[in-house]
Amino acid sequence: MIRIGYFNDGPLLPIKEGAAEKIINLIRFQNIDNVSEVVLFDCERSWTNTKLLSQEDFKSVLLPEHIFYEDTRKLNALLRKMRIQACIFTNPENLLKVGTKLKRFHQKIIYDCHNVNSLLSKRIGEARQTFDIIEFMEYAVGQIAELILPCSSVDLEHLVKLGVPRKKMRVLENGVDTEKIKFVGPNIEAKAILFLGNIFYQPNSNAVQNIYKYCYQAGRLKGFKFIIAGTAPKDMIVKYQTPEFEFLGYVPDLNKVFKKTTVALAPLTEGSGTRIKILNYLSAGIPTITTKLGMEGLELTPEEIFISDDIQNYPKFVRKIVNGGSYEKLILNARRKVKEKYDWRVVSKKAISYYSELLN
Amino acid sequence: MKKKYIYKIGFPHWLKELIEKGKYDDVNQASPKKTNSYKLIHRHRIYNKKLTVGRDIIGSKKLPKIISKSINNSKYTFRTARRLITIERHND
Repeated sequence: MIRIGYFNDGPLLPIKEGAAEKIINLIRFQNIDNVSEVVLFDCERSWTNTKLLSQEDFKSVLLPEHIFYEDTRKLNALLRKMRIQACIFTNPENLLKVGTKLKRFHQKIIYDCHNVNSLLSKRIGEARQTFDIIEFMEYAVGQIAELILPCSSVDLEHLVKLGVPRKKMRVLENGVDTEKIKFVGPNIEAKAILFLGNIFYQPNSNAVQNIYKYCYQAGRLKGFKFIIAGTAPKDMIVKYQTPEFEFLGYVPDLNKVFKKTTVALAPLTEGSGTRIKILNYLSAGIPTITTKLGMEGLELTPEEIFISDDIQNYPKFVRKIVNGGSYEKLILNARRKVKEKYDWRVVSKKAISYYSELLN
Repeated sequence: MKKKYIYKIGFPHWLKELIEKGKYDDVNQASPKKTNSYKLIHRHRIYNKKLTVGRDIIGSKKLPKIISKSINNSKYTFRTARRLITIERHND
């Protein structure tokens, strides 16, 4: 039986970000009777709803901030008591602050790398000094952690360029719960175009602005409704919301939105890691249009998803789908791919095999 | 001329951004006061538990004391015991 501690300081439930979606699902599906137990160690703040956490089947430990970050002797005693064999961190900051101290107590340290943060920082145009310090933290994490889990081979190669040892890395994909996100297929009559994401995140915010400018405002998709699902800054809602360009905010059940969706978009021009929104769209059987960067790191082909870097072409794709273009094979291929390769159950089994390799 | 800075590691970069943009409030989000207890959630129930001090010996040979790297004419050093990053920047 493998016992792993998953360390987090940040909002988790309700799930409003891709990072939280990954952490919660990995913990859910990595708890397998007599095989593996993954316990969440969360720094207690009011960002995560404790009631929702208590509805989960996995074990959670909520620690006061001073214990989480400073009193490692007590934290380590608790880890020993719970027979935790390795500790996972999901961002360089927490790993350097907490993981380093735990390693002094002979704990094994794993880095679950949701994004290459320095690459993301560079791509969204942050100051050089900002992405340099992030790059250094990622390099330092690479020297401390025993196992590093980038979410794609693209990210793995970026980390190698930063000096992270290749031999410590194993690719662990992002995923989707294909049993929860049911296959519904496109609702052609609804004439609804969906973008899903946390709009506070700059790459998503820029994508929404491009959808507004090139698909909605350009007037080439008259009679269509644009739906933006996910939390968004108030000023953005005030600026862009119209009856045909609607911000739904946080959506607890995505199936309800997918039932009313004709086409889904992911016109991303920045970012890192892989886009969980695409896996959600494809699991629901919604024809999806994305950029090359949008599908970066995902092993998808033009037989599964529409790809174009020119967002001005998107209305053409949408019209083709609505006018009976051949999308049936594409959505079935895509659903099969996500079920076989990107379902959290598949990803979690892979993760457990990596932990076993490390611990044995 | 060399200039030395200390970089204190704080919240994750993405979370800092969300706090700055107003998605999450940093005020009043502080953890409970310095207590010696934690909450355990197990089988849908919440328990308050006391923490104890362990007797484990500190010091792993696998942990380097110093990690450093030069990036864009600046030298970054992470001292694992103090958990601080120092940056030596060359100002010409």
